[in-house]
Amino acid sequence: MIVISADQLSKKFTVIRREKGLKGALSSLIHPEKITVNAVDNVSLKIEKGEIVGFIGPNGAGKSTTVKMMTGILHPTSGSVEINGLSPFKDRKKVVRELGVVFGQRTQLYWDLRLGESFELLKRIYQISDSMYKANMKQMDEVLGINEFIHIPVRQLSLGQRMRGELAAAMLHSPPVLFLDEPTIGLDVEGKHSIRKFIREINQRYGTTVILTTHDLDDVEQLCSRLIVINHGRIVEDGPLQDIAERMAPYRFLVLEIASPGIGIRHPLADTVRQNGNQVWLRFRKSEISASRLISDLCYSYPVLDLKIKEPDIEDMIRELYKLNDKTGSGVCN
Amino acid sequence: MYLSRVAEYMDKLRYYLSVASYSMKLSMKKQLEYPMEIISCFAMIPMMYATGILLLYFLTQNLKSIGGWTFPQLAFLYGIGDLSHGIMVVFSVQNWFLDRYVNRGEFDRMLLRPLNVFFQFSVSYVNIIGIMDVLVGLSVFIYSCVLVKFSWTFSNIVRLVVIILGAALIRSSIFTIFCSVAFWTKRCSAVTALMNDMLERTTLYPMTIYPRLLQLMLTLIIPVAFISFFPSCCFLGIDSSFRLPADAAVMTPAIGIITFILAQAVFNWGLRNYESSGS
Amino acid sequence: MGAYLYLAKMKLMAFLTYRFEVITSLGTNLIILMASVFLWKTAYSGTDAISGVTESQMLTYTIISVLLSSFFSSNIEHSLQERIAQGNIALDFLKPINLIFAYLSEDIGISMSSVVSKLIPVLIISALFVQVPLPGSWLSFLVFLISSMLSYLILWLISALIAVLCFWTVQLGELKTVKDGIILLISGKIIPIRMFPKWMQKVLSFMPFQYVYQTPLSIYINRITRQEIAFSLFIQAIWVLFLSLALIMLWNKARKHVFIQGG
Repeated sequence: MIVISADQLSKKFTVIRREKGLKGALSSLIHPEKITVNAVDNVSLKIEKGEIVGFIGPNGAGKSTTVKMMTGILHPTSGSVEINGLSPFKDRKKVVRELGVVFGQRTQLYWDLRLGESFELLKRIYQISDSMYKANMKQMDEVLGINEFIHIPVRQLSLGQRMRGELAAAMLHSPPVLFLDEPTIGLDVEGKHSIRKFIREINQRYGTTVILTTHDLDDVEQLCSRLIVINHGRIVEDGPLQDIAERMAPYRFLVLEIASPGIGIRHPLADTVRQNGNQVWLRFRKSEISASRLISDLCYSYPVLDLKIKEPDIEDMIRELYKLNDKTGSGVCN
Repeated sequence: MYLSRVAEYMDKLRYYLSVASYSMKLSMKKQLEYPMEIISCFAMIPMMYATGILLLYFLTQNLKSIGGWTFPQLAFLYGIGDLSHGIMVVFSVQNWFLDRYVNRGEFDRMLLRPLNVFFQFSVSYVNIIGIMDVLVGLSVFIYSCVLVKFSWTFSNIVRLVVIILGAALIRSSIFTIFCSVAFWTKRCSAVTALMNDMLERTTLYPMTIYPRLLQLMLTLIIPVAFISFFPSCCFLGIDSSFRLPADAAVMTPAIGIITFILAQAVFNWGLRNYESSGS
Repeated sequence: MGAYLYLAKMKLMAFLTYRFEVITSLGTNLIILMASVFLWKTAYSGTDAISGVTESQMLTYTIISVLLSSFFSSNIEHSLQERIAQGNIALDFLKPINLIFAYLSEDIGISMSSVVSKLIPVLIISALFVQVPLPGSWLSFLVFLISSMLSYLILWLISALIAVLCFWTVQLGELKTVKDGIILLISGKIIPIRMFPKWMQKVLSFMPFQYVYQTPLSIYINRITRQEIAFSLFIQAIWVLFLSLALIMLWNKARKHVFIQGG
């Protein structure tokens, strides 16, 4: 069942160019020069219920702008978006009732008040019944450990505690769709772990559809089944993580420790990419030969003492992707 | 059939009330976290108002009357204007800071909630410090009532309450309309200052000092005259040289409601622009 | 020196970039001007002179007062308070420029932009509705300008002194507004001090406030004799000196406070 669908979504911004110096300030006072920026350019996508989709792209690629259009905060210049069959701008209140949103850099909580008081307000706004409120709060505590700091004013919380609070606030009314904009930014390992655990749990338990914007590739690796890559306002990749990984980084590495240095390892389907004394790094294509085959071939022919298989870094893959698509376009907005 | 409709409305009302009351309670709690600021402002505000009334006093010492208005009458005008100003400052001063809301992304947050954004905006802040404004305004007003020998009949009191509430609504709507410019320009501090200066000079002095054209503008275009001038004329029995279709006690609240509807429309227009241009 | 000029220029530019702000500030001054003129016209509609001041003199007084006030703005309270609240003030102290002069340069920059954006337009527009009176002679205009500059300094120094209090109270709260209100009342901005009761005039003559507006304005409308002019200028200069010393003292105290507290 398709939960989110975007059709040729576009967003253009008009920016006023400011000249330098006093003369420039005076002239822009009288006759400002305007430039149009294509922040989002014909983005189309369909997301099914229960998917955890990763949204990645370099800064200024248009990720946040796209998310803002999907949540109804920003009106597109052209194109349309539907969430559960409804348009976020025509039926804002209905759509928003089914959404949970977390912005990593902006808070949805009340800065000077205790965390619990923000929850109480949300309870009234979303008209959550007492029983559901209790049940959800209990679950938040189970997975996020909310009760530990629910009585502390938000401004005194650590970043990790605050993010957990934001997530709880976003999920309090049990929305079927969750938008997360950089939820693990600035968190330590412990913090990231609990956030990811939470996302996985609600996805498994309730089939919550999650759209995750992130720069953290561990997030992608651990959570996302599908990856959408945006650059210069356009979708450059959209598909299962595995497929993209295979396409972008089709290599695997075999690291051999050989008996003595100086032995040239040769194999028709593997390239030697590095040799450090006794260590040899070999690169081979997954599609051309399996690891086991390569290993048996090499062990048969060469004095191999020890070996190790290395998978390509997801970071390498992403870097490849960005490099590939980096032309002289200007994606100014985020 | 009809009963279920009524029940629906009652439910909706209860819903809005529960959100409003809790939101306002939270807002007040937030301010009480900084008691020193409240206390220091409490000390300053009476001084500010004192300078205003002293100015009037000194003027009238030398002149005996301004445009036919004696000091007691001027004080009454000043007091009734102050009261509506105080109420506005308590409940809708957030209009002055609309640009802050825009720049901090507060409206993004509000747009993500299943509630009317203007409603959320209106209940987002209750200004505790403004209570001092109300108290001072009340003192000045009561003092002036003593001076003009105001008759505290039941009907007068009712008319007074209705007028002051209506006047507060007019004031707040004026600010909403003009401060909404922040949706386009991201700043509204200059407009706020402009409006405050304008309101001060048109509600604290009798409108008759201004030329007829200006008086017409202040009645028909920006209905400032209904805030303190017409009501004062009604209560003090002074001829305002305007033939109003009804008593101030009817007109002021009516104009208040009309301006409020207009204010909502302008706000929503600004919000739509904000949604189109992002932040 | 170049650094201070640059600061002034920066503020001027920043100001000009906000077109809308410029127009609304202009509007504010126009409103104040018109309202004051109408008030006095009404007040005089039956009398020839009040406390010895004729209607035309009073109108002159009011108009020039508004023009002066459009120029006399100071931003130091606001910017200083902001820097302190944001915790940047310690960094400022580390910079190799004299902070006091830096703030003064910034405010002069703003005032200069006000001349372009407020003073001149208000002058032109109000000339359409009222007769903007010209000064008596070139000499009196010159003296008026000198007196105005001294007034500017006095006002700025008072604002700076209040702003420095920020170091101890962090939140100015309503202090600036109260100061503005007081100035409104007893500086001669709205009503010439001459119209106050005698005892008040005596008390006020020991305070710096009346020398901000009353003095230059009286010079403009030719209400005081040569001797009194010289005397007033002298008193103004004394106040500038006195307030400067007070500011420097308080400022140094504040500096120590910052370095102990840590910004």
